[in-house]
Amino acid sequence: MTACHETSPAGAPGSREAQTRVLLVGNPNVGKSTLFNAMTGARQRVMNAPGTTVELSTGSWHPTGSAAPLDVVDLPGTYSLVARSPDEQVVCDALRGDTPGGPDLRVAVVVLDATALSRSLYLLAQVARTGVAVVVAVTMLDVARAHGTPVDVAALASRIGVPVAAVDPRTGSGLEDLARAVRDHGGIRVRGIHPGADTAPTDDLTSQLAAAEVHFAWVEEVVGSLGGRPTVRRTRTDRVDRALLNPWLGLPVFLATLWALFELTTRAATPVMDLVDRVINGPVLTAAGALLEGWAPSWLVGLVVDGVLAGVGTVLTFLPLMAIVYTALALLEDSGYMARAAFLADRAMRAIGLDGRAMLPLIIGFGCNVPALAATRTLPDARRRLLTGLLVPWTSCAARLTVYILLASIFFPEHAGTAIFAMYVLSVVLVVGGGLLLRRTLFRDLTDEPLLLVLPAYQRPRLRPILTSVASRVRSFASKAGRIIVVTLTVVWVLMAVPATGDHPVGDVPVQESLYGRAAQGAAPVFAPAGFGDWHLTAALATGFVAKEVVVGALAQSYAVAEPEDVGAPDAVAAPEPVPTSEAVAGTDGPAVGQESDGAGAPTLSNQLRTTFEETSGGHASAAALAFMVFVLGYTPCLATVAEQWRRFGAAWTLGAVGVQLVVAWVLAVLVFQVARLL
Amino acid sequence: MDRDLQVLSVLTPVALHLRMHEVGLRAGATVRVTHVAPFGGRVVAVGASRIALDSSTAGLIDVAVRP
Repeated sequence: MTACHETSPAGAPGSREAQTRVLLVGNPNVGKSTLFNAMTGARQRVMNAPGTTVELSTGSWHPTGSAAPLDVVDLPGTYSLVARSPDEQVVCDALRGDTPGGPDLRVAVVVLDATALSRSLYLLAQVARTGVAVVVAVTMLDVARAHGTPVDVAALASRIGVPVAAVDPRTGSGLEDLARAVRDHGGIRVRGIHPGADTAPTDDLTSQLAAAEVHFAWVEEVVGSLGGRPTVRRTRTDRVDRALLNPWLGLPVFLATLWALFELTTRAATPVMDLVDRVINGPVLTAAGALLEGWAPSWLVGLVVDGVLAGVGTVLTFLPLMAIVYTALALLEDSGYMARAAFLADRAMRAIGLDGRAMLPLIIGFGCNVPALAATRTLPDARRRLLTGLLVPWTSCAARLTVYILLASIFFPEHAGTAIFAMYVLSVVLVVGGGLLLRRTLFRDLTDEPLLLVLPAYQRPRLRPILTSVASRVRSFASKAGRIIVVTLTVVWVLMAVPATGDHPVGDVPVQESLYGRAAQGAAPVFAPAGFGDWHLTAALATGFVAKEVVVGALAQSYAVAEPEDVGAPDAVAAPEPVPTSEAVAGTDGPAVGQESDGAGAPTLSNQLRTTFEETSGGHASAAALAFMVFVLGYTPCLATVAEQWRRFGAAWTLGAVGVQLVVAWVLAVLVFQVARLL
Repeated sequence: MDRDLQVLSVLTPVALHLRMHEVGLRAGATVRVTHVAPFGGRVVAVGASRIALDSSTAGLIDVAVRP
């Protein structure tokens, strides 16, 4: 825990020509981000603070009458500048001027919540002590008035001696006053607070507490001069909470909310994703192929259509899903329910060493891991976001279900449902076990802090700021994670297009004779202890690194048989029931051209898999199939997940996680096979 | 519940003590318990603010009924 009270010469107003950086500072849930959206509109982007995984929004503000745009940074919400988390440290660093690449002149716009003036003024006092120029924006004035505790903005400005603007970020009113104050570079001295005086930075909590008492005394004086302390009155929010936090009603409502989110990431998003997929893989790819046809060599057509455009298509397919989840999260946050959900889930999540807010991304993960990683942004600090983000890939997403259904229906026809259910149980065990292990090793710094959560008042979400924020986040996903996805898919295409053996033209190579196939053959022996050391299976697992949805298709492709239709259908992906019977899977006859028969029937995918697993497992096909399912659960979910982890947590954590997932998946698969074959 | 209480002292560890002070839970403050949630958590009103606490943390706040 460090304090960041230091006078910074760079923060003082200097040349009037200098471009100004506006730092938005405030407690959580004071309307700071809504104010940021009102200021910047669509001119914003999401980035990580330098050297951290803390997400910041930066944007450009063009207030009326300003010659030059103002550079605005929406800093993480904080209650104080005694930093307890990476997010709070980022606020301290920004106020000190440690965010490189920006203008020299900084003005802190401290957002005060009129309904919690004491808490906001305490932060203002700390900001003022850093010596940075200060402008105050007061929000929630209408709510304070409704509570019977109106705030006299003029009296407040007169008392504290710096410009104060009354703003309503939801309507944009008051922005011109705020802009005027910022253009004048705010005030340097908050009356009663001395920048840098007796503020030697210290990590000693007792000293910090003593320093805080000085600020509390100042806050009491200011609040007293404005008409005294607010009293406690029953509010509309209290009446709603009487139902939503009720021990009997609160939990069912919370579980229903989780269920609705899960449904959004599966059933609701699937038709939109399918539509985008059909458009990309239909007219778009056809048009691209037609444009290249006739003059471009076939390998170039393949590279553009099946490599680059397929990658772009994958990214575009994810965009509706990301937009839906971001919108749902924003609605939950803006309405005020998110904090209640965290409060309700806290006891259960605490038992496994996680924050209550981790429940939400983990549940979404069972639909799709990519938006689940996006949902980690609702966690209060970067370390907790990272911890949850490392566990998300072990939530068994719907895409893995296609593999479970295929293998369970072939190898456990009488108990397919039980086998699939076991995968979900194992998924929960991996999340819980992984969480407990990480908390005792790499995340020992995360102490079991008692729950202390300020609950915002309920309010009706405003669509426009939500859509602005969602658009900005979706753009960020498309540009950063999208780049990784497109490049990797292009590389995969190249590996599949270049022949390793045989006399094949580039772009027209049987899988087993491509670089990709040879690599799979080389890797196959690694899986022999797990009972599935075969190149068809290894190649499918390698393809599954890109997306689990294509594992079944990759298996079919490597055996040159048709993919069973039931398994890949959206309904089958979205819901575990009904499970296709083995007859349904086995009954899909594929092309017999060039296929060896196992003598047990037509060369279907079902027959081929039975034969392969029998051979690789020494007669314990079911045990090997179970081990294969466990491996599919345990290793990297998909390329999009890796790209999103990379974007949020950086290369080191992402590659480390991929490595650990592979090792854990392999060890578990070997263990399952070796034990199951004895049964 | 639903009665005005005066905080006499906050008996939490120093690290949490500071955060409790920051959100307004300090000696002399007038508070009110507005809700008891599942698993014993409490929602405490401080002015217009509502602060959720787990049951053990809530138990560390020493209060008296305000006359």
